[in-house]
Amino acid sequence: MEVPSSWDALRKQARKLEAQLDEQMNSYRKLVSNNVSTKADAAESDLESWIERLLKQLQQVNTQMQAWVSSGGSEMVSHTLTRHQEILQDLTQEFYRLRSSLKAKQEHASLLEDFKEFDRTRLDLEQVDSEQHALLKERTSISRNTGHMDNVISQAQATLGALVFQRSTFGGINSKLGNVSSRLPTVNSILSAIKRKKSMDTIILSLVAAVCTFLIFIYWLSK
Amino acid sequence: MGDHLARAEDFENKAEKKLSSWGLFGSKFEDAADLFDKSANSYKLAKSWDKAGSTYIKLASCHLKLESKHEAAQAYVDAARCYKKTNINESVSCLDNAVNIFCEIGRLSMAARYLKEIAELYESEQNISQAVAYYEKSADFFENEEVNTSANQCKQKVAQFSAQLEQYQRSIEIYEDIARQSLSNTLLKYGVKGHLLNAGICELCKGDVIAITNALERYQDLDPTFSGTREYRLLADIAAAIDEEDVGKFTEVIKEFDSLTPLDSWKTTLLLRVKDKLKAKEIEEDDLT
Repeated sequence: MEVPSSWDALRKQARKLEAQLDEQMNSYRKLVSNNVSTKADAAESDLESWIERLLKQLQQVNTQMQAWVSSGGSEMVSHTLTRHQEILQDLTQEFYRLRSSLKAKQEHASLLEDFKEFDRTRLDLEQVDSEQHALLKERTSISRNTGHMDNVISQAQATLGALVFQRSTFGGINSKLGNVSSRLPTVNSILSAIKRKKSMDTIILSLVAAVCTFLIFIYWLSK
Repeated sequence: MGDHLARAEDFENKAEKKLSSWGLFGSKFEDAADLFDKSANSYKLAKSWDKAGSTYIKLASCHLKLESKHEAAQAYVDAARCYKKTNINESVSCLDNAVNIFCEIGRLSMAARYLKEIAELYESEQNISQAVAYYEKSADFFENEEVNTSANQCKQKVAQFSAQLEQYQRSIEIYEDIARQSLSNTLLKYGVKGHLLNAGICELCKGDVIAITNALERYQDLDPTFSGTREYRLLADIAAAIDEEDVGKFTEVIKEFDSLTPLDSWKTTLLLRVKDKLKAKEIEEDDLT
């Protein structure tokens, strides 16, 4: 099949933007992982706004492609558009995630930022109490593990409650079915009575029809 | 891919034809519903999420006309699942419809589950105020159905986001309530200090030293073992630093705590607010001097 040139141009533009975004996202990723300073760097904000602009442009191109497909594109083209939309969504979400991560790191560093005197004091304290420090670290780890275990156990407890509830529900269903089957003989007799009555009705109808036909035949002969 | 799409369109056309025709025997809505279901399934196989979603919405309309409310709600949920990949707003409105129907037929636990799903969608979109509203509704419904674990999870989310939106009193009430509930459960009582720490941090953000002191006394009454924990010591030392308006001491206390237990981003954000406020006060005092 032959794809019109406007589609080719749009696709080329989308691919170009995606390539640029990949490059910029790699730079941003390195920046996030290497970042130690507390203050927002000019390079960081430049990179962020550049990525945001590229994402907006890619969104616009995707919108144009969508409009083109809606006005009568083929299945292959529609599939390509879907692929591009997925790529855009992935890139957007990763950008949000990286930005949140960077902001969290900056806030953390900013919270702990202080004059150098206190750093020296802390170093002194740390040297003196290294054994106690290790014990406290161990206790903290144990406490965190206990917290996670509590979460899992409470989840299991909730599940157990739900399962018990289900069992009581099925018990109710079972007893209802028992009631139905205990009433079944009555239902059976009613059904058989209905059946008998129906067959008698059929026989009566047949007899009446036969008698009428016979009478008509006799009348015809006598005439 | 193309086969599925063609088949899906074929089924959809048949269903539309069935709807527009007049049927003497049987129900046209029932037949159309069956065809719409097949069509939507084929659209999903073709990965045409928008069309699959819109077809499921038509399916839900058919079921509503047939007075099959549960099937209609399920169709809306399926539509929401399809739209989740392309259009978040449509997804939310479909789940909203499903929740309304589940409420009508009295299936509150399923309604609660889908309200939570809506809240999670808003959370991923970083729309915090809407996420809070839906988490709150979800928690209410879970509580109505006596599913306390899920209710508490939703409430913690509400508390977390409320603090981010600077509604500290609300966060404090929720965390204290969860702590009280946890105390009565032998399995959960070891996690109480975490909840009380979160509540204490929210108190610090309010910046009222007397309120902090009262809160700490209240927490000791709630949980006698709390006063021996490092969390209590952190809160008490920070309160003292705020009282003395000493940023250096504040930072030192947090650094000591952070060296053993790294603070998560939520706590970091809130404590940074406290520090900024404290720093501003100190600078103001220096100017006066």
